[in-house]
Amino acid sequence: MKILIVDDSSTMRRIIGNVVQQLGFSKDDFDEAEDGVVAWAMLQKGQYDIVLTDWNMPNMNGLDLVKHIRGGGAHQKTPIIMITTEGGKMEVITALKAGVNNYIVKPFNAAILKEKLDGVLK
Amino acid sequence: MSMSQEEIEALMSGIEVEDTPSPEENSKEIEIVDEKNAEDEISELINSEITEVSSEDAFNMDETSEIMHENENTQVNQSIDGDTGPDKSVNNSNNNESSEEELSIDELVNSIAAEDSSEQNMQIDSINDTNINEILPEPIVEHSSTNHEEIGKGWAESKIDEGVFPFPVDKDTQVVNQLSEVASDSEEKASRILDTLSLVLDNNDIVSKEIRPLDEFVISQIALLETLNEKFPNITQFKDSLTQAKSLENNCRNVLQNCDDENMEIFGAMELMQFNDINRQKIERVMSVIRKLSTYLNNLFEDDNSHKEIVVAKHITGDTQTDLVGADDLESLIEEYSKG
Repeated sequence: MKILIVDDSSTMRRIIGNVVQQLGFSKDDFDEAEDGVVAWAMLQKGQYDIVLTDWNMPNMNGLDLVKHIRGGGAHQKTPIIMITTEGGKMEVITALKAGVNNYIVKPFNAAILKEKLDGVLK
Repeated sequence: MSMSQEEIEALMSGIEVEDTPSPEENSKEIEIVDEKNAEDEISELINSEITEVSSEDAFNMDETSEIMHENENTQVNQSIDGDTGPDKSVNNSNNNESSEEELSIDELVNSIAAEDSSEQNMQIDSINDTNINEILPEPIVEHSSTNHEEIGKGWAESKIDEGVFPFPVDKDTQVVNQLSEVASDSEEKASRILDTLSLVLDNNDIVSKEIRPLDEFVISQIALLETLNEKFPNITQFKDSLTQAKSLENNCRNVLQNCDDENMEIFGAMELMQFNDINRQKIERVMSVIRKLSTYLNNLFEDDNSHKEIVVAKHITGDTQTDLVGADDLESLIEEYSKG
């Protein structure tokens, strides 16, 4: 399984990567992108089984990335989990409407991510 | 052939220009100059001068010798160390001149050299005096200006602390810049902390991987020793070895357990590091508010720049902290100045 982690914070990308490793994945199982533009380019070139993305990022934010992915292409049906500090009800609804499969509010732990991953991969 | 006054002056000035460098520079030049060439030039010049003197009686002998010896003096200064320059030049001139003339040349050379050295000494003395006079007052001036600056700075700082003056607008006090710096610095340090935690995790993995084969080997040894102990219960060596092997197995398990516990703690610490990102986003929100507030205030207070700068009154009736003039004072002042 190949995972794409999208976050502008390098710290956050590493934390998510570590949590993913805790769940039994190896370092080769995931790639990292620092914003939506880079992520979109990587999605055009490679094949990913799940996308974990932040919301607030420079250049292209997570919501726009989700809209791009759902707009068409090879990853139109790929599960997307949004991991963000945006905890408002309206934001969650907006993200879900845009096509996000699940939503995690920071801070989170390995158990929560495992639960969400299991949920979208079923 | 006679040299015109202009040619003489040109020759002198040409030589004088070369004479202007300091004695140190001359001595350096002297080392470079070809000795033979210098001698030839000097003798040629002197010969030409002396020939002129002997052929033209009308020409003033004193002037000629003065020019010649100034030239020679210059060449002396330029020549190597007196061994090749003046003596040899003079010797060359001896071939063409009488002994009386030689004496007069020597005297003139000596007198000019003495004058030059005394003038140079005077110049050096005056320069030294000037330098000392110039150098001495400077530190006093700097010291006093530094004191003034320090006093002014201290006063300004005290006023800033009291809240009377605002902070000066520079990079260290601009709020958004500072917050941005804090956010990026915090991100960098958090990344370093993660590096350290990752290193500990990797080391724990290495320890675990190295311990596992040892643990497996100890378990197999325990099985072997248990068999041997059962078959040969009277041999204490097997019994003791079995006890030691079981102790080692416990140690291995403890090490592995400690590694796992440590890893869990590190994962917990890494999860807590998420607050760095959360706090960064809070700072960014504050920065956004400040930027918008700044834009709003600019919009609120700015005008269309169509009005000229108005001269404002300094003292207005009703001011409490100004030296206002009352009606009586005004009348008395008018009266006083009307008399004058």
